[in-house]
Amino acid sequence: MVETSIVHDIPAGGPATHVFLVGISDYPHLDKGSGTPTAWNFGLGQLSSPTASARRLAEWFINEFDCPRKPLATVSLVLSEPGAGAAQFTNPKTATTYAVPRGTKIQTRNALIATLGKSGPDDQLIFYFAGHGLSAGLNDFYLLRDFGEDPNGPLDAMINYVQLMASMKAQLPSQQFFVFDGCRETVEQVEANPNGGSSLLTADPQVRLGLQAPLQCSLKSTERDALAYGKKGAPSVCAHAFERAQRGAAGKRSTSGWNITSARICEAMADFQTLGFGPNAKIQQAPDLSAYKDFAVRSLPGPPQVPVFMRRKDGGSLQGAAVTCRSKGAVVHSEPSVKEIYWEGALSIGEHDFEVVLAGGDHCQPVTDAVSPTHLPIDVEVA
Amino acid sequence: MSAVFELQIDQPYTRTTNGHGTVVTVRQVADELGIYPDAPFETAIVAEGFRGTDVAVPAGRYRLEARFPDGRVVRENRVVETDGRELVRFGSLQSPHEWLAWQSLSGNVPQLHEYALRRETFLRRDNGLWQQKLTPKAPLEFLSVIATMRGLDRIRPADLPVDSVFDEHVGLWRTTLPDFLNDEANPDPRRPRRRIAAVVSTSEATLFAFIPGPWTTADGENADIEVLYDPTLPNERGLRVSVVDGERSALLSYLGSSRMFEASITFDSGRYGDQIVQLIQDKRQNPFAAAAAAYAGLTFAVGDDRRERWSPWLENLMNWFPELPDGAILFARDRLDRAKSTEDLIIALKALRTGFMRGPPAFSAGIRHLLDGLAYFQSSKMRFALGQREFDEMYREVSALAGLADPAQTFTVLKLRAGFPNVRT
Repeated sequence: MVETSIVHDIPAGGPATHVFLVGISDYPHLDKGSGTPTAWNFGLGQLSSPTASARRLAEWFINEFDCPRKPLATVSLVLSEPGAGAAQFTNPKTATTYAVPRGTKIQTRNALIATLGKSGPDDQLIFYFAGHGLSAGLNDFYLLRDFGEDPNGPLDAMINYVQLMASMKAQLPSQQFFVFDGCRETVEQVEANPNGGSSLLTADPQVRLGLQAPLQCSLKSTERDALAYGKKGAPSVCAHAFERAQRGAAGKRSTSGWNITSARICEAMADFQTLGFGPNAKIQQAPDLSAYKDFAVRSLPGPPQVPVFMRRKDGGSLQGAAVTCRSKGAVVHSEPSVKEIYWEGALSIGEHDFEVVLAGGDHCQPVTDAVSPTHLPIDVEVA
Repeated sequence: MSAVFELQIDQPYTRTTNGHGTVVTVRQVADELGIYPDAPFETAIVAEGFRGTDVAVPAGRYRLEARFPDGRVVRENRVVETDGRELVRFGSLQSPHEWLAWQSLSGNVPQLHEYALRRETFLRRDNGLWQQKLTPKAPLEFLSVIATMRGLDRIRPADLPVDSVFDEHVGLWRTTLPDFLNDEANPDPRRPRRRIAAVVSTSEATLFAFIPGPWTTADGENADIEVLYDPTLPNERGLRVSVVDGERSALLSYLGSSRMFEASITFDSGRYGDQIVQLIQDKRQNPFAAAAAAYAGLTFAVGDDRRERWSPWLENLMNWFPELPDGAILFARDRLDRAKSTEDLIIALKALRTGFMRGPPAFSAGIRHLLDGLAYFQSSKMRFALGQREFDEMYREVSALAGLADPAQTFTVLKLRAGFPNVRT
């Protein structure tokens, strides 16, 4: 077993993409944790979705992030999971198993420095954090594994968002895309300590002299004072939306071909976070754009597949229904029995005809519509 | 282009303008033959009220989305044939009251149904005990102050033309500001100028909002400023400031709701996009509007024409308008983004200090950029260009101010401790 945060490492020999993923589920010093409880717990306890989210995204990037312009060079993983030892992750392509850092402040900092050590000025960094988050005024704070460990510095082990972004601005990668997937509840003690937490890195503005400021786009998974959702042990609404966006929903066609752009990712995530538990769910989790620049995050070899969501206009269930999709007369997708109360699929771009026969044999009105990014929502009516 | 969409936003009547601007994206998803085009037509424009905005497009199938400042996205699918003309009217915004129309359009109050629902939920909490917190006519006051990062000085009541209207819990005040640009009370350009603020005190906090202006509209008129107080909003975030300035208000509303994607779209929006660049060029007419446009424009990368056209004018925005701390902050942000030498970095750092000395920025985005800029230097020896103690004090005070500011606001609104300032002395 290899002990490192870098679980995938393919030198690119040119402009490349580096992915840095942090999932903090186990907080030893918060409620029901394994360590000495901190008095500064703010009612927070243990989570399970953050590590599931980071693992899921690591597998997706390693298996599917094919970007000719900036190919994948490294994937780094930091996971705080319950148990005595470090979390293990097996690279789905190489089958090598890694013991990854557990997400203390020092471990996270060292892992980030290791990732940045592999990157150059033409590279891109994709940064994802999932775990507890807190808010105070214009700033946000993201809690690391050892939050609350030091009784003399109970707020030390959290990421100070403003300071992290400032220090990242002085690093080499010229494109930086951030996703912070955590709640943003306001806490008085954090408001009273606005310089709490850590930047993780030391900023040296002279590193980038002569280079343009890096393009930073940063998305928080929820609005201020609001919660971020995830099902127990499963990837969060935000992680799921981020993956869908990267898969193709955030595709944009231009003269240079198909690209996943940061602007379209933000747009797609706003769409999919609401659809995260299905189009009938009442989840309200609107992402909040904290820093915005539009740039191509991934160039695609061709037109992407785009999500299609279908539900009944009358609110009834589609469970057991047969769905048939045709393009230019040919059947491109056939689902004999829909499993959920809604149907979700992914189809190629262009016009399609949709036919639905409900479980009881009733037909729905046929629908013709064009599949295009970010997604196609369809409301079918019983004929 | 062979066909036309006429876009309308179904808006409630407002007494002062044709309507609030809303960004509408127009995207072709199929051509006349039902095929996704090699170069699909795509544009975004700012549509305003019932006046209608024409968009010339190639024939085909389109997805149109109106992206309202409150985060709602209303979608329409339309097919338009060669030489066809298609009216697209986006769904009605139902204001809870006629007098809250502008606030609904700005995304500050929910529409009729949600407004009633939220009020019921609020009143049900704690078996109605929360009702005791509702002040039927909240004691909002307008003050004239000198504001520094450390506090308020020379506080006195401001004598403004104000009219107000209330329902059971929400209050709305309308005013216009007199011309303070020639205020000679404090001629030192490095020191803060006298400003107008709206203040409301609750049992838990004092909410303190800086009023931007005087604000000159595109027509050269002195704009109405609306101040809303809604105690049902959580975490004492109920004080909101809006400027009634027609389609230019779209930019302000998107800035306040962190919808920088939509705010940046306004630059690409034909006639309106040209107006925005003009806003920055004509900063003497309205430096506040120029600063708002520049904040949105910073979303473009250095080297992008949409930024390079106005970037050289930011130095004048800093030097000509000491009453606007944001000018120096914008200049510093732009200089930091294009720094080629240590000297550039020090010029940017000193501009941040100028902004700091002029007091809290007019825009909440200004506080964020000031904090970001200082954080950039926090562990660099370059901060000694100001003297270590001076830098550390600045950073500490700006961090503290950022902790008091509401990020979901266009203009700077601070949550201060209850009873501060003692406005009745």
